[in-house]
Amino acid sequence: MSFILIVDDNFDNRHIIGQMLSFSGFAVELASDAQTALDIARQRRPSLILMDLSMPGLDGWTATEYVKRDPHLHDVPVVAVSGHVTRNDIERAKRAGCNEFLPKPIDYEHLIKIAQRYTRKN
Amino acid sequence: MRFPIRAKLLGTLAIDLLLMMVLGFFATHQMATMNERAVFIERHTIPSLDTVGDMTAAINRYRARQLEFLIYTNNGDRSRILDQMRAIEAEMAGYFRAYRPLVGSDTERIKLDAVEAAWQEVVRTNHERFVPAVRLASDGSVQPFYSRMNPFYDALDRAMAELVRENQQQAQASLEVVAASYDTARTFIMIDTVVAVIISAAIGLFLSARIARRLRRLAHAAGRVSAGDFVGSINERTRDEIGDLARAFDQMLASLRAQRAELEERNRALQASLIRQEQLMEEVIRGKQAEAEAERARAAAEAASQAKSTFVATMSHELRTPLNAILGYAQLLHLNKSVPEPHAVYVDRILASGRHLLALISDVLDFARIEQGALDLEYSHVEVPALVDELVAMTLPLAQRNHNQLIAHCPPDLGTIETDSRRLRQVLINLLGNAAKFTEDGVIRLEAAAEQRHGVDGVRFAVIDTGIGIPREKQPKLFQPFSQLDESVTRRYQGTGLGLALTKQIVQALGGTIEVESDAGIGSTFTVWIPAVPAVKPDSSLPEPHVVGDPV
Repeated sequence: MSFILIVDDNFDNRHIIGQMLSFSGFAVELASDAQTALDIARQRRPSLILMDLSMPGLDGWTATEYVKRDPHLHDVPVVAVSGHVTRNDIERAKRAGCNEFLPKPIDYEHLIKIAQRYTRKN
Repeated sequence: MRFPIRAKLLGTLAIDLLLMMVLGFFATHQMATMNERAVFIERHTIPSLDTVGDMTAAINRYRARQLEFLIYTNNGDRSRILDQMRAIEAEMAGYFRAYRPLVGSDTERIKLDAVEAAWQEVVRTNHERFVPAVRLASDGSVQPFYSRMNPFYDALDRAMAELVRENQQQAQASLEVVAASYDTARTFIMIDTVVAVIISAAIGLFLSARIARRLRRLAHAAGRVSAGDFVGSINERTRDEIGDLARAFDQMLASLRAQRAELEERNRALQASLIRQEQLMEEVIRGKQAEAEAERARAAAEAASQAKSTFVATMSHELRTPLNAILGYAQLLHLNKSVPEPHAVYVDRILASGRHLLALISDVLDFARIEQGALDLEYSHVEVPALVDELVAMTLPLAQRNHNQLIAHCPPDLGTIETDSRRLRQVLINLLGNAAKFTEDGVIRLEAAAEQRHGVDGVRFAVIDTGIGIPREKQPKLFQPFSQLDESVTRRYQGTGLGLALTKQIVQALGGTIEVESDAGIGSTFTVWIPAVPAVKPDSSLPEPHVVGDPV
C-alpha cells in the first residue's frame, strides 16, 4: 500500500503534516531524522517523501541526494518542507534533487494539492 | 701696457743688453784711445828719447874728438881724428833721418830743426874755425880755441833740452789722456752699471708688483667665487697673459652666474614641483586615509547590516517555528468538525490572529531588508494586461467580502514592462487589499495606463475606492511605518501598520513613485507609477535572501 513519508525533527511539524494528510485519507509514515527515513524508504518504497531540510545529523539536502542516487528510490518524488524560504534555500533544495518546495507554515490546502499531485502520478 | 709679460721681461732684458752694448762700445773706444796713446809713447816718444840719448852721446864724442884734435899734434893723428869727426857727423845725420818720422807735432819738428841747426852750427864752426885755427897754432896754447866752441855747444845743449822737454811733455800728455780715458771709462761703466741695475730693478719691481697685485686680485676673486660669491668681475683691460686669465676668469664667472641662475631657476621649479608633489602625496595619503576610513566604516556598516540581516532572518525563522505549530494545530482543529460551536469560533480567531502575526513577521522582515538596502529584486518582463487580470482574480474574493464591486480597466495593448513582478504584485495586492478593507458596499477600481514621467516611459496603476477616505491632515504621515489612522481603525481593520510604508519602499526600490489623493468619507485614490525599464539593474549575481513564501 502506498504511503507518504514525512521527515521532520520537529514533533509538532511532523504531527501536523501527518494529521492533515491522514485527515485527507493519505497513509503516512513519520520519521524524526533523515537516517531513519532512508532506512524506512529502502525497506518500503514510499510514493512521496516530504523532507524537512534543516535537521541535526544527516540533513535534508544530503538525504535527498541519497534518495536521488539510490537505484530503487531515484524516481520517488521529494518535496522540501522548510521555514527557510529564501531564494538560496529553494535553489539549494532544487540542486539537491527536490521536486517541489513547500514553505512552512503549512497551508492545509496547499499541502493536500501537492500530495494529490505527486501520489496520483505514481 | 699692451704687451705680453714675456715681451715685457724680454724688453727689460733688452734694455739691459743695450746698456751693456753701449758700455762695451764705449769701453772699447776708451781702450782704443788708451792703446793709441800707449802706442804713441812706444812708437814715438821712447824712440825719440832713445835717439836724443844717442845724439847726446854722439855730440859728447864729437867734443871729445875736438879735444883730441887739440892734444894730438901730428898730422896722422889729426887726420884720423878728422875722419872720426866725419863719421860722427854721418852718425848724427843718420840720427836726424831716423828722428824725422818720429816727429809727433809741429812744435817738435821746430825743436828738432833747432837742434839740427845748432848741430850744423857746431859742425860748421868746427870745420871752418876750430880745425884751421888749431892747425895754424902749432904751439901749445890751444885752450882758447876749445873755449870758443862752448857757446855753440851750449846752444846745441839748449836745443836738445828743448827737444827732450817737448818729448817729455808729449809723453806726459799721452799719460794724461790715458788716465782721463781710464777715469771716464770707470765712471761710465759705474754709471752704466748702476743705471742698468736701477732700470732693471725698477722695471722688475714695477712688473712684479703689478703682476703680484693683479694675481692677488685674481686670487681674491677666486676666493670669493669658491666662497660662493659670483657677483662682480675683475675687469682687466690689459692684454697680456694675466689679462687673458682674468678675462677667462670673468667669462667663467659670467658662465657660473648664468649656470647658477639657471640652477636656481630649476631649483625653484623643482622645489615648487616637490611642494606640489608633497601636497599631492598628502592629498593622496589623506584620500587613502579617508578611503580606508570610509572602507572601515563601510565594512563596519556592512558587518552591522549583515548582523542585523542575519538576526532578522533568524528571528523570523525562530518566530515562525512556534507559529507554524499554532497555525498547524489550529488548522487541524478547524478541520475537525466535531469541535463544538463556541470553540470552533475560537479556533478561527486563533487562525486569523496567527495569520496576522505571520503577515506581520513577513512585513517586518521585508521592511528590515528594505531599510538596509538588502531588498533583492528579480526583474522580468511583465505583461501588464495579464497582471491586471490576475490581480482582479486574486483580490475579487477580498473585495466581495465587504460587498464591493471590483472593476479593472486596462488597454489590452499596453504591452510589457521590465520589473520585479512579485514585488509589483505585492504592492498592488496591498493597495487593493486596503481598498477592500476600508470600503463597504462600494466600488473598487484598478486602472492601468501608459504614462511618461520626466521623459521616461512607464505605467501608471491607480487603485480607486469609495471607502472611508483619509483626512488630509493624516495623509502626509500615511506612508510612515505604523501610522494607521488610529487604534480603533487598527483594531477594526487589522493591518500590520507596515503595509503602506513597505509599499512605498518597494515602489521606490522599483524606481517608481506612489501618491495618494483622498477625501474623508468619499474615497481614496492611490497612484503607482512604475518605469517601463529599470533605471539601474541591480547586480543579480549577489545571492541575497529572498522571500518566496506565500502568505497563509
